[in-house]
Amino acid sequence: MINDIITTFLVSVGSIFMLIAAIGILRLPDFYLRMSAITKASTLGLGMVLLGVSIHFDQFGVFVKAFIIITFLLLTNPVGAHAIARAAYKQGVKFWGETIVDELELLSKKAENLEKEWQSNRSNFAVGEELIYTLMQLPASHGGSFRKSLDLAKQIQLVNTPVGNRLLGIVYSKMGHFNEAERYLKLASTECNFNQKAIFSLVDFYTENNLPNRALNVLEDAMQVHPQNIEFVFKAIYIAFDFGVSHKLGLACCDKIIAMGTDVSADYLLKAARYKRIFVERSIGKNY
Amino acid sequence: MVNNVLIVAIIIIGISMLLVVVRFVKGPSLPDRVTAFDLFTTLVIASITLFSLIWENTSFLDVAVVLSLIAFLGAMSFAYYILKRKE
Repeated sequence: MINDIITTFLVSVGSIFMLIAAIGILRLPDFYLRMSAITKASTLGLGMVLLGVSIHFDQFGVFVKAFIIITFLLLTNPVGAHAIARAAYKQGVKFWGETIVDELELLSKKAENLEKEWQSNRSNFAVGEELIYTLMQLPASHGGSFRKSLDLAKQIQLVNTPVGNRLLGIVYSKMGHFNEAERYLKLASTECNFNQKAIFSLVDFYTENNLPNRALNVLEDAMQVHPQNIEFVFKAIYIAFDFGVSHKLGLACCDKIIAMGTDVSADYLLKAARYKRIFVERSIGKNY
Repeated sequence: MVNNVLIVAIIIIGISMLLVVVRFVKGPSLPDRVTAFDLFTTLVIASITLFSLIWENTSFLDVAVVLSLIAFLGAMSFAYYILKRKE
C-alpha cells in the first residue's frame, strides 16, 4: 500500500516535471534559456519516474537498473548540454534581445582595446599589466594564451626589469610553475627595494600555495626595510589570523600598530586591538 | 489507483512529446533541434519505464539503459558536428 502511494507520487510529479520541461522548450525565447530549462527539469523528472517504477517492482535487479540509468543521466545530461551550448555559442547562435551580460565577449573586447592601446604606447606598463591579466583569463578559443602573456612580460622585462620580473612571476604562478614563479617574484621584490606591489604579489603567491610561513618571512623582511608601511603590518596580521600560524608575530604586529599611537588613524588602532584580543585568546589555547 | 495515475502520466508524457515535436519542426537553428531531440529521447525513456510498469515486465528497462547511453552519444556527436561544420 505504502509502495503504491510512493510510486503514484513519484511518477505523477516526475511526469509533471517533464511536461514543464516540454513547455519550457516550446515557450522560452532563446536557445540558451531552453537548454538550461530542459536539462534540469528532464533530469529530475526522469529520475523520479525511474525511482517510482523501481519502488513498485520492489526487486533488487530493477533497483540496480534504475540506479544505472539515473547515474548515467546525472553524468551525461550536464555534459551533453554543456557541449551543445558551447558548440552553439561558437557557431554564433543569437542571444535573446534582453540578455544583459556576455562576459566572454566583454572580456575579449577588453583584450582587443588593451592590445590596441599597448601597441600605440609601449611605455605604459599599467596597460601591459592589465592586458596580461586579461589574456590569462580568456579561454584559448578567444585568443587568450599563456605564451602570449609570457612574451608580453618578457618585453616589459627588457625595458623595466623589476616590473617585468613581477609580471613573469605572476604568469608562471598561474601556469603552475612553482619554482620559476618563486624565483622571478623574489627577484622582483629585491630589485625594486621591497616595493609594496611586488611584495604583495609574492605574498599572495605564497598564500595561494598554502605556505603562510614563507609569506610571513617575506613580510618581516619588508617591514624591516619599510618600518612606516602599515599595509605590510596588516597583511601579516591577516595571514597570521587566516592560517592560524605564528600568534607571536601577529601579536608583535598588533603591538607595533598600537605603539604607533596617534600616527595612524583610529580605525587601524581599533582593528589592531581587536586582532590582538583574538591572538591572545588563541595563544592561551582558547578556540575562537 | 496506480493504473489510473499511470494512464494520466502517459498522457502527460505524450503531450510533452507533441510539444517537443513542435519545437523540433520550428527550431530556428540546428542546436535547437538537437536539444529537442535530446529531450524527446528522455521522454521516450520515461515512457518505456512506464510501459514496463503497465505490462509488469522488467526487461523493458534494459532498453531504457541502452537508449540513455545512445542519447548521450547522439548529443555528443551532434555537438562535435555543430562545432566542426562550415556554414
